[in-house]
Amino acid sequence: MLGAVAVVVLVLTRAEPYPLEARHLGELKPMLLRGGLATTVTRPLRPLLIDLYWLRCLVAMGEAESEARNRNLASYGFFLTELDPRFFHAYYMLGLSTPYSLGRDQYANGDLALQLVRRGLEQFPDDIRLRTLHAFLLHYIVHDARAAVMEFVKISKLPGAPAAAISSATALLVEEGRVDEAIDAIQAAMDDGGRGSMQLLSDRKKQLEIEKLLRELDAAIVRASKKLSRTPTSLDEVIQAGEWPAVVTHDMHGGELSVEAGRGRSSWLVGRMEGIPRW
Amino acid sequence: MNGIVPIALNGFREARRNRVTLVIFVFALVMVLTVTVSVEFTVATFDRVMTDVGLGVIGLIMPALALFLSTGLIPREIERRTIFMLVARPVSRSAFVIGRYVGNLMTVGFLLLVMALLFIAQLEFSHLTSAFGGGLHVAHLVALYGQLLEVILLTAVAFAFATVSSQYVSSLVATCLYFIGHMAEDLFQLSERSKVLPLKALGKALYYVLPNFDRLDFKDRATYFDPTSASELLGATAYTVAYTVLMLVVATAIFERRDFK
Repeated sequence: MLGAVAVVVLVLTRAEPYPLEARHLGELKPMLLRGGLATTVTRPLRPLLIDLYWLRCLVAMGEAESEARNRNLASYGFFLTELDPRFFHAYYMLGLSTPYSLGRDQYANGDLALQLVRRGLEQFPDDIRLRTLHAFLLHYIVHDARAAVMEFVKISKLPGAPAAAISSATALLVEEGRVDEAIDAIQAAMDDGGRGSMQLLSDRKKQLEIEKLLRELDAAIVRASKKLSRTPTSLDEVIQAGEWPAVVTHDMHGGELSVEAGRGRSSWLVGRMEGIPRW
Repeated sequence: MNGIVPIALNGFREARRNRVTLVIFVFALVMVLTVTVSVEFTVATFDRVMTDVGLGVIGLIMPALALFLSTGLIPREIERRTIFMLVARPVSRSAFVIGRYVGNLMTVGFLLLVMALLFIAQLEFSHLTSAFGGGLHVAHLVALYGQLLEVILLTAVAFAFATVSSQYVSSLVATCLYFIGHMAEDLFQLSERSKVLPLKALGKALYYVLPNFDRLDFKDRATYFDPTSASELLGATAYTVAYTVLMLVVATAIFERRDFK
């Protein structure tokens, strides 16, 4: 009798193998307590709870390879930082891992990553790493170059900031076509004592000044092309077309000006300062 | 107060012979050893994980052990009728309660000491053998001291309840008090925000009456190696001693009046 009951129970409760795809879905939202509840109820064990979730979160970072899985990382980030607002690595590492590339410069979850990093900036307003991450997200993920420039300018003013911060700001300004503003920013940084490396800033200023001149030459080449009904192949042709002053054959730093593939060049500047073309 | 020392030593020996205590203790040691393993899974936060997992495991197991041991002692004596042998001897009931409490404290204190030494050994080992790990910090010692204070207070509270009720009831009440005691400050903040005056007064009263375990918890600070002032530690110690004495006075008073027929 008992054996029959056992067989019936076994038949009723037979376990189907858990589908492998479901096991690896990971798209399911992570099981997280409400922050407030976790803070209050688990108070005596909060540090342990935070670290156990942190370890789980690191595993999730390894798994993250879809829009939904990366979004889950932000959920972990918000949860962990609600429990421990001073948990720097949660802001930094999860802010970096949350965006998911959709290809062609398009990213998902950028807004969540920004939200997390901004929450971190409230706690660590002077942290260069977090601010640099903020600038990165602004520029590459949500394509807000203006805001990224502002962020890089802020970074450059922080104590111990790398000189590359202001260089990055100027690069973005040039990309936006704001060469004069870039030169002003570099000059301000130089007036401020160099902020890291006076040599680097000075070189950058020279590059910017030459770039400004080359952009004027570019415009002259376009005008000359219209007059000649073909693209000029040398600086002489632009001068002969009356679009460029004959006396300006060298830039202000001694580099020889020329025309290559319909664009201005300076022997001083290895490459032109311009952004990577977007899709 | 004659006979406190023999009763205490006897309690310590008894706890040592208790298999459940031994099993939990071995489990605790294994858990503390997982600190080293857990560090292998993390990225960039080695000190933090070592500190949190180590102190967290101690903070999880020690109160459980303290509750299990302290709520079982007196009810078990009554249940097994061994209490009659003791009350028949020329030992006052208060000496019996205090002796039992001290014996219990010796047991949990010893277990905590072994766990703490194992934890410290792991911190120092990781410091000496790997690039990460800052080793033992004063914040770790403060957190362990806080844990000791918590165990002293929790044992006293559980003991007081064990003198009036069964093991299950006293362990349930003491467990609830342990969690509420950790929320004492939230309770106070909530009552402060309330617009209902009686609720406000009740919240404040509960805050002052209930044991404030949160005041003895320095684990959060150890995570970031935050300093703790000497006055704060002294305050926590004085609070623990005062509350413990009060609980023992209550336990003794109840036990003196208790009829075992």
